[in-house]
Amino acid sequence: MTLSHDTHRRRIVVDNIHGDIELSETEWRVVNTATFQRLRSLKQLGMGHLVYPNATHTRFAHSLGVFGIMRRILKQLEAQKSDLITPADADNLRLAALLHDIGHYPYSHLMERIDRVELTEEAVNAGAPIQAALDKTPYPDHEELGRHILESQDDIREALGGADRAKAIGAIFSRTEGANPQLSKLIHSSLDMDRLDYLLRDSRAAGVPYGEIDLNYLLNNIRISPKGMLGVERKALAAAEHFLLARLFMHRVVYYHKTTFAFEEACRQLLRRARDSGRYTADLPTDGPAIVTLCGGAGLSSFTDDFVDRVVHKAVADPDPVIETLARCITSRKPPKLLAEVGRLQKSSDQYVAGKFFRERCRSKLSALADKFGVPLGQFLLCGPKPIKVEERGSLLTRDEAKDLEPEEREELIMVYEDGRDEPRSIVDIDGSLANHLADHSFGIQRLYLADLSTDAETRFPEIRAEVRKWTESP
Amino acid sequence: MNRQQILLALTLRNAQVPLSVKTFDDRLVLQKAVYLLQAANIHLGYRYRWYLRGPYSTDVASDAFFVVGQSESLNDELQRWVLDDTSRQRIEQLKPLFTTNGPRPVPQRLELLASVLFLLKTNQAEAPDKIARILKINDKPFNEQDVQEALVELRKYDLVA
Repeated sequence: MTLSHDTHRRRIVVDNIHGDIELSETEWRVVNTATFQRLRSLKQLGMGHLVYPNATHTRFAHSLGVFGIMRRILKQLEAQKSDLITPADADNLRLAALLHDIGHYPYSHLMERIDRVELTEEAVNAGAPIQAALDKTPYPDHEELGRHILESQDDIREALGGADRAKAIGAIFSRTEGANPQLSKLIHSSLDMDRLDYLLRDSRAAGVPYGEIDLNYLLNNIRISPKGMLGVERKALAAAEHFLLARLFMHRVVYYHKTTFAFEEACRQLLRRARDSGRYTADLPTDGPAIVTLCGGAGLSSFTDDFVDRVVHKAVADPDPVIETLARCITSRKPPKLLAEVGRLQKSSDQYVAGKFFRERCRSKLSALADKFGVPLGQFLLCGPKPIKVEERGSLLTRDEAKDLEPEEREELIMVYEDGRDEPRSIVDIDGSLANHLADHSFGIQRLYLADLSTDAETRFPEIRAEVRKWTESP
Repeated sequence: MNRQQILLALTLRNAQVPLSVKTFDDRLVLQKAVYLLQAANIHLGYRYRWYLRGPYSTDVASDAFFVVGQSESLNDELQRWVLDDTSRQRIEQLKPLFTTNGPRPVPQRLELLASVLFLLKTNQAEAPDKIARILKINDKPFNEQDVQEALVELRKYDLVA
């Protein structure tokens, strides 16, 4: 296998994480399209910069980093003389890595998930009909949106050499490729390039040590099996475990930081309320097809962090007091305050699931508390970030259940080559490994914030907090 | 349980899809049923990708394992919620897909239907022979005739035009 058949001219980009990253002429053309340059205006860590002032790095730098890692992995596989990947496949894989975030929404995952935002009124109002058959199609996720962008934006389609190639590359990073699923597998394993880059990049930008994985050792010990499974040699087991723990720590410390999360949850709830109010039809796409239309045309270039900032600034004058308060919290950098939090690393089989009782009590008592203090219920933000798993797929299973998974269910687990085996085993199956012991653990958090900028906020907050903290005690 | 997990459990219960993750077939039925329900505009919010056995969502897998793990309190939790009328009607229309025996077992039937629909929706193939070729690459035991039959069934349930 040769590295590339697109060898006419090479360009170098200097990256603060990976050093020199070499691009072919086609890759360089892609980077220089307006569609790709939009990624310079999307902050990688959402609102993380409101807590970590240097965390202003962008999806643009991250995309180049992921591309750089893919390039190194393909070189490594080339040295192993694997014939599973043709030169044309390698070219497409590098481009898929470069373009994997091309469909990202403003503030990264913040806007993408507003259809899944649970408003406090909905959480406490159990008994009311819960709606599944929505009138509106939800916003697509960023990979699906990216696929649409590749197929609809002329500049990037031309840079890639035509519609067919754009479609093929979109199918790889969105993992919709049916005809050659092996390629997508390379991008989406648990040890994927996306995570390898963002842990290091986010860690250094935030100025914390928790994401400092041993990238070189992992990449130097990577191997592809005859069946196309990517894995690491057994001697790199500690580096793989470190990678898993780094992910866990980065979530606990940076991604779920209580203040960052407060700003982001305030913004998510604001956006959903604003969109559903019908007063922002010119500012916020009403549903999934409207997002796809926006991003398929000239509107894409303004679909950046500023897009959300404009909505937030407009919402400062909204007649709804909840929307107005949430907007002012963000624009004045006065985050919603944490009333209480329940979080712990635990087995999925534990009777006491972190936050379960706290959430129950919030549901049954919040309305009365809001009435008592004269605070609109919507200014209480009840939220639980997605549980963090030690191993992405394994954590909600017992060890026995994890062993029972079929091959396709194991695909996203980290794979490890043991001596004498052609095919790797999942890290969960390696006796004595951390993942083997922690496979059925996850770190769950439930939080309740209060967004309150009224004149008596300072005096009533301690009273409200004292009441809410009683709800965190185990029965 | 969060709102999405409650919605998942309620939807599966209404569709009479067993909320079980015990065997691979249980998990396969659950995965493909959610995919087909979403295609019928029951928006549960899960993202599907292509795996060896067709459309698969890691989030559905995680949530299903979590919900099953809450079996002690599941009934109490679900009793507090009801699905809206529109959702229940749409689910009712699709229910025979999950409950009625056909010429092949339910897991295989759902795998075929979900796979064909996924390839159509992602514009990877339209003609039955091309769909069948892609299924063959993925070692699926379905031929062009099976694909034709699947298309008829998908049309019957308004899942394709």
